[in-house]
Amino acid sequence: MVQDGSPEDLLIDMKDTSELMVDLAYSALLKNDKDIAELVFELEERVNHLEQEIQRRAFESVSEKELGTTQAYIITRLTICVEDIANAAVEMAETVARDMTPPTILRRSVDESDSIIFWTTVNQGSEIAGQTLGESHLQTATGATVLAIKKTDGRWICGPAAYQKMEPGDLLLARGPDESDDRLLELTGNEPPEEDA
Amino acid sequence: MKDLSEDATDLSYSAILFQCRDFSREVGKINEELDELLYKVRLAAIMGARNVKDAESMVVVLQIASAIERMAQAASEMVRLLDIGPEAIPFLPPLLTQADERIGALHIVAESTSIGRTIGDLQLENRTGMHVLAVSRRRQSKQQKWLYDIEGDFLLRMGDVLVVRGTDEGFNILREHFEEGTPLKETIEDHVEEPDEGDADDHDGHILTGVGQ
Repeated sequence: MVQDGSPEDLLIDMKDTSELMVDLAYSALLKNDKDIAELVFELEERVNHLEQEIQRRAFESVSEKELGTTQAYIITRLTICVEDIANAAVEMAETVARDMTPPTILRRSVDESDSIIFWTTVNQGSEIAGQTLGESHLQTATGATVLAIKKTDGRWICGPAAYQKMEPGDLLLARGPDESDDRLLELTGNEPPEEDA
Repeated sequence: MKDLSEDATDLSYSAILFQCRDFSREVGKINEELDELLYKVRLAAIMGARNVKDAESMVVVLQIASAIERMAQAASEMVRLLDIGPEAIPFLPPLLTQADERIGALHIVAESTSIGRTIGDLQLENRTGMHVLAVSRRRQSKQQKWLYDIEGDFLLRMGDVLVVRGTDEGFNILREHFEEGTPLKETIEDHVEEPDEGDADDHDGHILTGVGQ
């Protein structure tokens, strides 16, 4: 579970993860979707873990004179801010998981965006299996952004970079305009649902 | 409220990136506005509950209000890191630019076909995945002014500087469009199709480089 990398690298990962959590928390709320809320909790563990790891490595880097004290201090402070943002997302997702009924007006106020969040599995032999995100031009071709990839061994890659490879069996968590899910399902070798088009 | 808290976070990141006091001031303003809103929301929630069922849904409202407040506070905490001193300034921006979504600035040149059109017309977000956070515009008086809270009906003018957030690929598309004057449709097509002719290693690099020179 422990990634390699400098405290700075891990901080970026942590920031990406927290942004994903906020995104997911809002859409869990909007769709009243407990599965999405569960994802937020799953990612919270990752954020907590990253925070500890970043702070530990920041201190280590100071003792090895790779980082100045001010720099380590800034990194530590940033992790606290990012953690706060992640906690706020958890707080939001909790209302969904706990079956509390939000007033309809609230849901409407969040519902101004027309984008949706959806999962798709990369199938063997599909167009993008084995390609990197950059090679697939997925975002430009479908309008959907891949927010995270869940590997078959349960590893999360939040905010995947262009060089990230998509392998058969990977789960892609994506967000995009309403029609983008069909196009992405096609690229990953899944049949778009025929019912209520 | 959701918008305000997101703007606050975005502007905080931009403030750090551009070391721009205007941005941090704006984060402060957004937070004040948000405080006022949160107060009203809490008041309305308490006044609105007449029975247990009402009260239950109001608890949700209050919880979400506090979550939003927390996010906005975290955002202003980040901006305050700029005050630590000159040592912070060269160190902070790279921490944020390596993230998967980057923030960058684009100048609209006279050749751009987008001058006189609105952001909504261009469907920037739908077509390129890029979101416009703020625009810097020169007034008659030659004074530069920052505009925030950019909506679909925002009219683009020559010389505007757009602060955008999105992927490297989207950024490159917009840079060719706004700074070299290539029509948007062409740049999108170029980026989506052309690289497939090259070999695999090649276009990976093409996406990863080329931003921020």
